[in-house]
Amino acid sequence: MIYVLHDASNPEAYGGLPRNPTIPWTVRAWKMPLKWLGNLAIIGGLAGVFIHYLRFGPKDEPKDEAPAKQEVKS
Amino acid sequence: MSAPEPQILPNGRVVRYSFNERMVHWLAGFSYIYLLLTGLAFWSPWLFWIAMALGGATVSRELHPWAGLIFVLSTFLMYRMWHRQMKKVPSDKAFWDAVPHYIRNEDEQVPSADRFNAGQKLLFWGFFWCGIALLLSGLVLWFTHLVPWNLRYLRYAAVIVHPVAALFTIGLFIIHVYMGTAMERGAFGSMTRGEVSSAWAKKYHRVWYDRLPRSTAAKTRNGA
Repeated sequence: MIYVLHDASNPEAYGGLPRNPTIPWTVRAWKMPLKWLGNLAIIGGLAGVFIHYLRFGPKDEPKDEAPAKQEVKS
Repeated sequence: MSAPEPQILPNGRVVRYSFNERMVHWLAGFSYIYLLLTGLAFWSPWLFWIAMALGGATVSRELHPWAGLIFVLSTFLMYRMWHRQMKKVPSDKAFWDAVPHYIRNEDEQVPSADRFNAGQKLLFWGFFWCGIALLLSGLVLWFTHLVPWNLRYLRYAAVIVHPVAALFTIGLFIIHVYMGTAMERGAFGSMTRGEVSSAWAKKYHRVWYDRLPRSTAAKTRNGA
């Protein structure tokens, strides 16, 4: 966000704007390490499940036993 | 109070999820997918094309918080339906101890669970607590202009809490979708048709299966 002030020498007059604004550490942390860690985590997660599928495959689906067929007498 | 409906059907199939449970699950699912897609568009300029594909930046920005409210509502409905069955029990530890076997598909060495196993409980509570964190931080980011200057630390906190909570849910979501569609065959059908085979229920949720009310025909058929 950019503020354009008529009187830049007195920012406190505009609703208490700080004289020496700084970027909060949380925003800096979000921009640099967190975004890249997040990207790596998402890509790693997708790669992990794909590799799991290649290595182990799906679990066998348990099936119910088919009911015994009745004998037909001729 | 009326007697519970038989959950083992005459044809031997087992009712795993009721219609209401499936409706709430898919309400959460579809709202989460929309939040995920628009959220990824806001996350990185590389993914901003997703917002364009979903109607543009303004539409995505406007609808994202509303979809968030739908997601949180459905999460609370899930809490109301399932929180008693999601409580931690001593047998959960045995499941976690056996997770390496579960991963390697050595299912005969995995203890059978009640209606939900320990992994499903982790998913449930992970989404529940992250949902609360996303709601609170999302409200601050939605109504930034209403946060007074002397409470600006709330904005700073929200900037980091929102994506961190979202990343946790993305991890849970990837595993959930993979297991529900590709890894554990029969699981997806339980959330679409609501039923599973008796064999499936016995294999993965034997403790739950043994407690289910049976119809007379099912008793005869299963010899129970």
